[in-house]
Amino acid sequence: MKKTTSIHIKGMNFLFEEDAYELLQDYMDRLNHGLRNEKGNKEIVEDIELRIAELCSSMLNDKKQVIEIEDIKSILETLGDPSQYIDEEEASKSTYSKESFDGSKNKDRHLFRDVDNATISGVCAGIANYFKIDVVIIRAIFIVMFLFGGFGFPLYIILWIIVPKANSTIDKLRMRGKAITVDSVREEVENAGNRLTKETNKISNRLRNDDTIHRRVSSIGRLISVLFGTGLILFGLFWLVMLLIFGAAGLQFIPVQSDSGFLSLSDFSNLVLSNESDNTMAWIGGFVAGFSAIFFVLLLGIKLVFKIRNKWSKRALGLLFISGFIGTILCVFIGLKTGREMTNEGEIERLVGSVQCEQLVIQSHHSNNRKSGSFEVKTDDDFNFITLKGENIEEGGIHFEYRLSDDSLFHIKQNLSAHAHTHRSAVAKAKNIKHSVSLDSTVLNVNAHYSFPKSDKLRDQEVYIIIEIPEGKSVKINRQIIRLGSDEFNEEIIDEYYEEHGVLNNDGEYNHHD
Amino acid sequence: MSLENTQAQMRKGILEYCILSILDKSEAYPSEILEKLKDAKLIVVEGTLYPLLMRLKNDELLAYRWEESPSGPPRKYYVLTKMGKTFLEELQTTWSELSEAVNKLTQNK
Repeated sequence: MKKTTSIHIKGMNFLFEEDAYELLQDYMDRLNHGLRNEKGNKEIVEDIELRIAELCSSMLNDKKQVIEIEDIKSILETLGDPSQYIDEEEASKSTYSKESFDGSKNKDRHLFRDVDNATISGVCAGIANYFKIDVVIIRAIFIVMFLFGGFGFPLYIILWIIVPKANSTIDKLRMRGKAITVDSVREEVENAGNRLTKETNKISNRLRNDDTIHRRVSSIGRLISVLFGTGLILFGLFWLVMLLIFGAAGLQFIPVQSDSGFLSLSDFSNLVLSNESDNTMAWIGGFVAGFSAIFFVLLLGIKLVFKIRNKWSKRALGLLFISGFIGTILCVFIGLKTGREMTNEGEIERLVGSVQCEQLVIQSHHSNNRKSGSFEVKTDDDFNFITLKGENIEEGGIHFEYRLSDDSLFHIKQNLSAHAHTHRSAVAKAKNIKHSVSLDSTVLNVNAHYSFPKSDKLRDQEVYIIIEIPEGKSVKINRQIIRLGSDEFNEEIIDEYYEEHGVLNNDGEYNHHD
Repeated sequence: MSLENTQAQMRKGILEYCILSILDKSEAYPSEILEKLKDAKLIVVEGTLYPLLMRLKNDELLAYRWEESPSGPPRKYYVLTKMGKTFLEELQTTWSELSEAVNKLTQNK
């Protein structure tokens, strides 16, 4: 087993065994030294490099991919040692009348996209070649323009479109201007280091043989995957922060009226879930699922942006997926368990009183204490918030149901309902509802709020006031007169199922639904 | 004065003339030129050709153009310049005179 080095000679890539490379390097050093006084020495070296590249590529085939020391020995033998063909005396003696027109080649540098050293499309690498500066500087300038200028992105796209790709090796030579010498090859080898392994070399060779369209598509794909990956990372970070704030830090953001102000999500879930162990399970499930999903997205984004392809990251993704799945299952399980608590409705009904009069007046009572500390809680009036008072939950919003009375009396009933797993416990929960309603001659006093113990949890507790109105009589509530039907629809009024509804909101406002 | 050195000197003198003659027939890239020279046993080591080509080019007797190779690195195709052509014609007369003279001298021995 031997270590290999990747070098390129005149735009061609070769894998050299390290000792083979050292031997060649030594030869090139001696050649350069021997030719140091020769006019056009760099070009001679270049020509000899070309010949070496030619001989090397003739030695390689599908089975043989690496240049070994024996190959280099035979190549150097054919070329002959520099001392055999360089007559130093003659070289220094010889005079030449004219400047070589080789000099013009220097100015003949062209702007190409350097796809071999590309991150996205090779625009930056090409510019760096053109100005002979480090590509990192060009990339930094572009990134700064992307971030602050706004014109960096369109400029980049335009350059991508108009600057041709360095397709052939000749293009590549022209792109770099003065050709590669041994020094630049050596530099390249030093830089190459771990960048080029045999595997990536194969891939890049394959890519180079593909047509332009394929190349461009793949770099557009790269751009998209970088953009998409960045999006995923930002998305993941956002939700990570959200989860930490609302979940872990216990920020009190659910606007519930209570002695202590707003409720945190965990306090709220405590009011919904039947017991402490359910609550704990739901929270563990939620956190596991949430963090797994977030880290999954983050890792995926990082993989896309930084082109990471290894077993470790794949395994991590798989693991996160499984833990997310388990967390979700736990949440669903708790959700189903809690949902089961809602399956049975239990209700109790009692007669508040009966009265004979022309008009029943309903007086609503509500405490306007929607305050949280020194702050008043601003809420949408249609939204019925719960209020925590000591060990009780107070809810607003009383439903009114109007029916036609069988006789000439007003009959007022109070109906309390709740949900639970069994009918019995639902009825028990309904019984626990406290709501004050009283008939004082022709005035019905109704409290807009009702309460029930915290330990009963939120189980869709509702209060209905059912008022049976005799034919032709009316109910007055908050300056609103309710009469069942009208003269034109006499037949409908006789229908015993005829009903009308209304809701008394917790702020004392009454909404009637026809 | 060693034999080897003398042989090398003799070869070197006519090598330029031979290269120009090869290129007079058609343009060629170094490997093609090398093949012909090696066939004729005019050169031993390939390296000899390159400094020579460069000198001929610097003297504007040769010019070159780049061409892609179907396999391997790009090739430098060398052609004779106008100056190269007249230079070659001069060399041809010199060579025929020389070979005649040499033949005469060696046969008369």
